[in-house]
Amino acid sequence: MPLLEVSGLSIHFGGVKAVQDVSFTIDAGVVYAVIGPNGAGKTTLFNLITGVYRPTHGDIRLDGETIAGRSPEALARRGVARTFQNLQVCMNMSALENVMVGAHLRLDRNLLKAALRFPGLARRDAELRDEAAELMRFVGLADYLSARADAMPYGALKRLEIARALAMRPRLLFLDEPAAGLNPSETLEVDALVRRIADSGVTVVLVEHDMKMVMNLSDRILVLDYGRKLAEGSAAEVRRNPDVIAAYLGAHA
Amino acid sequence: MRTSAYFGLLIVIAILALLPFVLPNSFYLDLAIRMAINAVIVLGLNLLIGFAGQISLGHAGFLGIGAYASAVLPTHFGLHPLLAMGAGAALAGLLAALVARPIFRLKGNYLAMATLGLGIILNIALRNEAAWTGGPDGMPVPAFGLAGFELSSDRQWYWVAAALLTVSVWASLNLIDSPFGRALRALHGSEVAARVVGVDVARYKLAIFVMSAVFASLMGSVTAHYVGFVTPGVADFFHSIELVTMVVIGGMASVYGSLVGAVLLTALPQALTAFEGWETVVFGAILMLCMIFLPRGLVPTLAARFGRAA
Repeated sequence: MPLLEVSGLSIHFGGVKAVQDVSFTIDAGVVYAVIGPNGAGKTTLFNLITGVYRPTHGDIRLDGETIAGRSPEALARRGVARTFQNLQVCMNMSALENVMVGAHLRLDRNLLKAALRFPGLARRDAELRDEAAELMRFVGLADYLSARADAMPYGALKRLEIARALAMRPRLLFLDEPAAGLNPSETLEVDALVRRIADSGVTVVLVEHDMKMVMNLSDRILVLDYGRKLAEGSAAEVRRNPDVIAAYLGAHA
Repeated sequence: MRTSAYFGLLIVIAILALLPFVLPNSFYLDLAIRMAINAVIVLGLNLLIGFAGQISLGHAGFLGIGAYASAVLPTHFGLHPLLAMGAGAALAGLLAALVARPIFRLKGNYLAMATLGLGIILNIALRNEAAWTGGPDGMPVPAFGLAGFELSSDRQWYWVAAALLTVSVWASLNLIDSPFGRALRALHGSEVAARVVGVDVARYKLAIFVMSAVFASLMGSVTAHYVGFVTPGVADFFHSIELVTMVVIGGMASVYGSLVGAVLLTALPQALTAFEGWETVVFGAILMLCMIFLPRGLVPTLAARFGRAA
């Protein structure tokens, strides 16, 4: 059984059909990329699968269980994590605390115990602090362990979001343009990071414009255009597909 | 950073312990007690406004519930003051939950309008139910006693207020640095980010709103017993605004800012009596200057200037 199964997925915003009748499956353990020109519906697709939007039609199954229309917090409990194209970092917190928030569901969230600083809770928090620091090193943010989030550069914040998502210990990780706005050397680092994450057993779904990175990393690629599925296959198959070439180069094949 | 936050608590304890021995007379002792009580209320409100990013413009209404519960229930029903205090807190919490529950399912800041309305309704109810509350004239509050011991002198009240303040500062510091507190700050920083890591945003907003309402009600009861008299002014809209101003001047999302804001704004009207008839104008001007030059509030701005996180 595939880990994620999307069938006939559509969402309409008024008259705009942002995603139309898209179907695909993702097997556990792969790196799966979603590509397409600007406005093709890639981020909308992410928002649908991670519960931010509710689909107009269609079904999404995780391990065979329907998750379409479930809230983001319900999906978080099922091991679905994501990052955002336009950064969603909590600027009112430190970098480390941002990562610690990722572990929210694994912690004791009791208000009274927290206010009275129960020893067990404080000890768990100290452990978590080390764990979060370890994750920050893993994504290459060792220099920012004691930084405030609002004092960090853009490229570092992108990786901070990845560290926060990893703190959830997800099974399925959605990365929305992890290399956007990064310089070539930073892009290479993110490329290697995604590889390390995939090697650790997390299934990665990626939206990315950097074709070198996509072709290099992905086991399978889904191509969207105007909200519709244009093609799907391995990197080599997608590269040869005449429809894909037409969509990217604007030629009328 | 965390250890320095708790170091501040030691300073607060030291000041509270020394203060009664240096205050020249009972006028200042009374002022200190009112400052401490306000500081506790503002701490609770700052958790809601500064940390969780939600606003209440009717917080004095919850104070009023506590104050009048402590006045009405023992007087008319012979209830023990402690039970009356608990009943007031329960009512405030329940009311907060009823009002906020539907609101937190919506996007946007509707809480400000709803709490504004709630505060005004409570204030009107207290004025009109004269048979129970004494109407606009208010009513006396019986003294607070426990196990044969009665709180009467200002000295005793001072130590009670100081103890409440110390515990509140400690609990607030604990809370903001816990999983619960981080979830609150995260939903303020980015609601969608908080949701995708699994924070049930509506539930957390509700929890902190109810908690701050219960806090306000309890402190309303304490104030009523201390002053020995309540009037509907305690639940007045302007009192709500005054409390929000204390949060903002002291510094949003700053525990020690709450204390500074409460202390300054409790003292300011006293200091301005020299301006006979123009106190309110000078008061307003000071607030405006504060907002222009210290938009983040006193404590965070000064802490940033001296290069330390508050």
